[in-house]
Amino acid sequence: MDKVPERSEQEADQQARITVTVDDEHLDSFQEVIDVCGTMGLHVEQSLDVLGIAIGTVSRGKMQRLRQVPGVRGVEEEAEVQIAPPESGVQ
Amino acid sequence: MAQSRKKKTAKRSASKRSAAKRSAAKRSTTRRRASKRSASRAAPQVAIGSPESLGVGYQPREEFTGSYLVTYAENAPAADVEVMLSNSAGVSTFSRSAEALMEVGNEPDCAVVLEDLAIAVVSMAPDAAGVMAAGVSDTQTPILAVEPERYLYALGDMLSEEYLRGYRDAANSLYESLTGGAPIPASAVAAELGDTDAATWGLQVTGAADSYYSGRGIGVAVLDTGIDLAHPDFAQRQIVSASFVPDQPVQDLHGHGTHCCGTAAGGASQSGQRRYGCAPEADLLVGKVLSNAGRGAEGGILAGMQWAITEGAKIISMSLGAPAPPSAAYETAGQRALDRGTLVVAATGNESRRRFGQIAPVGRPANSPSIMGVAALDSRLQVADFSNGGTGHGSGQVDIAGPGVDVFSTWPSPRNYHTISGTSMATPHVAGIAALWAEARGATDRALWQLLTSEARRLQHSSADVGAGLVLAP
Repeated sequence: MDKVPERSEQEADQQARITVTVDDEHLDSFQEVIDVCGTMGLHVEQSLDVLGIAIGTVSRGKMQRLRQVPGVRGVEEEAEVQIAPPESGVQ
Repeated sequence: MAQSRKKKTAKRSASKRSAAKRSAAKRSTTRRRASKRSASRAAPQVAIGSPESLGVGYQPREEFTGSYLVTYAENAPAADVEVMLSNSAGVSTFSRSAEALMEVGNEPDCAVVLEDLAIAVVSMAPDAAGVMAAGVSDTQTPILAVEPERYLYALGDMLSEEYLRGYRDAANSLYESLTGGAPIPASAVAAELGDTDAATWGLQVTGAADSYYSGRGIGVAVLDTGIDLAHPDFAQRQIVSASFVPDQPVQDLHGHGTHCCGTAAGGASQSGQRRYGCAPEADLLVGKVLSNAGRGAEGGILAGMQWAITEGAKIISMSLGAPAPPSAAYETAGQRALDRGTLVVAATGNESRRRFGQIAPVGRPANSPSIMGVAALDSRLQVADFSNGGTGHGSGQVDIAGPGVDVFSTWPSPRNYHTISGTSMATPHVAGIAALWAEARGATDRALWQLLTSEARRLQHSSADVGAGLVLAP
């Protein structure tokens, strides 16, 4: 019988959409920093080189390792914005 | 006679000069008073709105010493700044001592460079100042802003009736809010404005309706639900647009984006409606980052920001947000936008219910220090019931306020126009008026931020709620 993964392992395997922000010192080598993140499990969906921010998915358990990559200022889960419906008086 | 005495008082004090620098962002403790004599010496590049254009209760308050405050980049060596002042403004005498401040103004072509403040007080001809002000957008120059120096008066020896009345109102308001009593009647603070056949109340109270400027040639990007490209008021406009929402074109099927575009850069309507757009001749860029259902992922919003920057937008207006703590991604994006000449303004959010004493913190991304957070005011210049505020603990701050209650603007056809409320409606007022300032002074990014906040109309509300105050047009 297969071993049932622990709850924490399940969470660690969950995919998270994240933003990876590169610091000022590495802005010129933005792509290299993101490439390193790619080798550590980041699936890059968008590379915004002017802002120095990449957007992609990674398994939740690997987010902490991405934070250790030299040149990475922040690794954050992407949030979603929701504005009011059109019929609302306050927008 | 009394005037000259006060002038000396103002000139002598280095600590007051420090206040001049700090108050560029928040003028909270200094009072300025009008003087016809000094106003007549105002530098020519400064446009001052008429009192009538600024709404009931407005007091003229410009007063200039004849010298100029030149703000320069903090990392620029003072020696470089002196060379620049010498070459471009003919300044021949320099000092770096605050003690020498009282000499500036008495002597032509001299400057005191205050290294700690990264500010120089310069006596120079108005035309030289005008040339310098026009060149602040050049990234090669360390100069960030050039402004006529105003007289500043310390409290104490200047207790006018006007001042005492304002102080009493503020004290009453504080007392009432602490004791849970009824707020002071709004009529005691400002008479209510309404839309007229000519212009919305928001354009009247900010002075945008009477501004000489139109935002011509200034790129303003609205990142939202898109725009109704077939709207009669926009059909003739050159609009650069892009969608960052998967499988949805720019065409706005929500309405929010079309409303915000109208306030920032729309004009008088084709069908003879009142004017509602702050910068009717701005170059409008429309990035769809929210779906027709009003949802958007941060990835698309950030992609829209990068697009707007590379398209040359000088201002990005984002009437969107989430109740979330500040993020490194948005803070960095805002910084890099400023580094590339683009100012980002964003709505602080509508989660407050002030009538129940509930004030929600500023939402993301307006809670990033590098992004200008905009609160909403009603037509009595009271803080809107829903408008979020600074709640401390690093949760973000309000930087400025704009008209955000009962705002008339464009809506997708067939409705065409709609009147709604929100910090979302206040934000494009600030964006459009920023375009007017960019056109008027050639200021961008941090210099534009400084202009907007230093020229804002102080209100009798906490800066936690309204920042520097009501945005005003040049």
